[in-house]
Amino acid sequence: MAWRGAWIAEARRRGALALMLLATTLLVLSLSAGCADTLGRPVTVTVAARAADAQGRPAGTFTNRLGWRVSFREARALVGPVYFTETAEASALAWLRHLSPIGVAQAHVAVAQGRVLAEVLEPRVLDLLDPAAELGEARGVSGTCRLLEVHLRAPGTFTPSNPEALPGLNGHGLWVAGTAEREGVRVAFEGGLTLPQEAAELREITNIPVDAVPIDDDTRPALRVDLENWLWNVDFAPLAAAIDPEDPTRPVIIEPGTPAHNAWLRAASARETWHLERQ
Amino acid sequence: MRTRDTLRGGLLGLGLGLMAALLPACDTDEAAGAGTVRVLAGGGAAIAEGFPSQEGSVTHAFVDGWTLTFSRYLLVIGTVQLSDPDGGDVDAQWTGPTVVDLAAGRGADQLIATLDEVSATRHDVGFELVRADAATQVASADADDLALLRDNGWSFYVEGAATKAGRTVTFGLGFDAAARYSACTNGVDGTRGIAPVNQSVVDAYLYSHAVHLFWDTLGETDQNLRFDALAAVAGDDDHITAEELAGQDLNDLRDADGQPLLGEDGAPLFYRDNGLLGRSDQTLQGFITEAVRQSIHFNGVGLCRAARIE
Repeated sequence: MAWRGAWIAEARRRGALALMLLATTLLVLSLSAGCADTLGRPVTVTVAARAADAQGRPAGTFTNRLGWRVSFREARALVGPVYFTETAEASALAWLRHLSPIGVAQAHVAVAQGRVLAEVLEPRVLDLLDPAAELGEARGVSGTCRLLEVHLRAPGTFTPSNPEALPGLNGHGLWVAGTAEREGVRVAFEGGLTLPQEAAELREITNIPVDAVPIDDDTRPALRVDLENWLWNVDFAPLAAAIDPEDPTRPVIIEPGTPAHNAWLRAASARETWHLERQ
Repeated sequence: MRTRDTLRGGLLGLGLGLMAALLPACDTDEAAGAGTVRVLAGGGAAIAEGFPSQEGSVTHAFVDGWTLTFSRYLLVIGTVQLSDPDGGDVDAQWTGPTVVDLAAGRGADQLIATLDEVSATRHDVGFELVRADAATQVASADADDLALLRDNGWSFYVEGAATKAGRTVTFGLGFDAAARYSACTNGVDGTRGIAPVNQSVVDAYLYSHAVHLFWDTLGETDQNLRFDALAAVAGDDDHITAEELAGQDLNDLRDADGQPLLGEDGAPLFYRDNGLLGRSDQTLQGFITEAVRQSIHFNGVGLCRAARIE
C-alpha cells in the first residue's frame, strides 16, 4: 500500500501545482488586461479631407492679417504619408520603467511617446476646394488618436501607383490660385510651393495635437486644412506692382524667395494649419 | 479529505503567488532609500566667452562675421519638480521663482536649490521659465536686474555687445518666453529624468544653451549663427532692443538701408521656423522668443518638452 500513499501524495502535489499555475496565469492575464484594451482591432477607415477654418466654415473668401480680401480659385497639396498616433504609453513599459534604476531612454522630445494606430501611406493630391475630397484609407488598429503627423511631398520623390494622380500641381508640392483685393486694387495670383526633399523638419509636420478622435470601423475622421493660414501673412502689394497693365486679369506668379512665398512656406509647415477632426 | 487538502494547498499557492507578484511594486521606494538632489543652473563657455567659443569639439562662430560677448544673462527659474514617471505625482519640488545671472557666474553652474530625502528611484524632471513678479527672489542677480525683468514682464534677458568690421553694436534683449518644461531627457546618460542615489548627492542642472538665440533655424541643432538681421534694426544709437526686433519681418528680412538682407550665397536670407511659430509671431522678436524657449536643457543637452505658459 506504500505505493498507493506515494501516489496520493504525488497527486496532491500535482493538484497544488496546477492551482498555482492557474493562479499565475490569472495574475498575468489580469496584469495584461490594460494592454489588451489598448491593442485594438484591425480596422480600415476612410479619411476625408476638407479645407475649413476652426469654426468649420469652408475655405472660400477671407480677409488676411494685412487687410487683403482673398478668394481661392484653386488649392491643392500633395500629402502623405499621414500617421494617426495615440500617446498613451504601453502600461507594461511604464511599469518596468518605474522599477528600473536605469530608466527608459527618450530619443528626442519632438517625438512624443506613443504608437501609430493607423496610417495612410500613399501620397495623394488633395483638391482642398472639393468638399468630397478624401485622403484615402487608413489601415491599422482601432483606438483613439491624439497626435497627427502629416508629410508633405514633392513630385518626383516617389512613384505613385497611379501616375495620373498628380493633376493640378504644375510640378509643385502645393499649388494655389485666386484673387486678393484691398482698397480698390485687385490682384490675380497663382503659384507653387515645393518643400525641399532634404528639409525633413519642414516637410514632416509632427506632433499635431488631436482632440481624441476615434479610429474605428464606424468612424470617419477628417483631415482639416486651415487654408486661410497659407495666405494669412501674405502682403499682396509687391504682387500688385507686377500686374500686367495690358492684361490685369493675368495671374501674377508667387515666386520662390519672395516675402509672399516665404509666408506661405512658413504656414504650410505649421502645425496650426493641419488638424484631425471627426467628420 | 485529500481533495480538500489539495484545494487548501492550491489556495495557499494562489495567495502566495499574488503576494509575491504585488510585493515589488509596493516595496520599491522604501527599499531604494533616499538621496539628495542639487538643482544647478549654468551655460558653459558661450556665456563666459561669447562667440566664437568652443563647446566640446565644436567651435560656435557667426557665419556673417560678428563676434559677441554677454555682460548680463538673466533667467527667471520657476518651480522645479521631480515627479513619478507613471502617475505624475510630485515627489519633490522647489517652488522659486528666482533670478540667476549666468554671466555673473561666467557660465559656471550655480546652485539654485537642494532637494533632500528624495526616493532613490527614477523621477521625471520638470521646471519652468517664468515671468518675474513680486514674489520673485534673486540668486546671483541683483535688485536692478529683478526690477528690469519684473517691470517688463520678462522671463529672460541678455545684454552685451557685438562687433563686425570695426562697428560695435550693443544689445539689451528681454523676452516673455515663459515655458513649462517636462519629461526631460537626461543629457548625461540619455535616460529620461533622474535617479537619485541612496545616501548620496546627485546634480540636476538646467543648461542654458546660448547658441540657440542666434541660430537661423528653430527645432534643429547645429545651424548657422547669424547676427546681421539683429544688427540691421539697431538704429542710429547702435543699440538693439527686443522691440526693434519686432520690426524685422521674418518673411521679408531687410538690412539697415531697407534692402533685402542677403546670405553668403547672395540669395535673400530666410530664417526657418519649421512651422513652430504662430501665425502672428512672424518677426525676429517672435523667432528669438521661441529660440529662448528651446534653449534650456537638462543635464547638458538633454531635451525637454517645452510648452508655452500663456
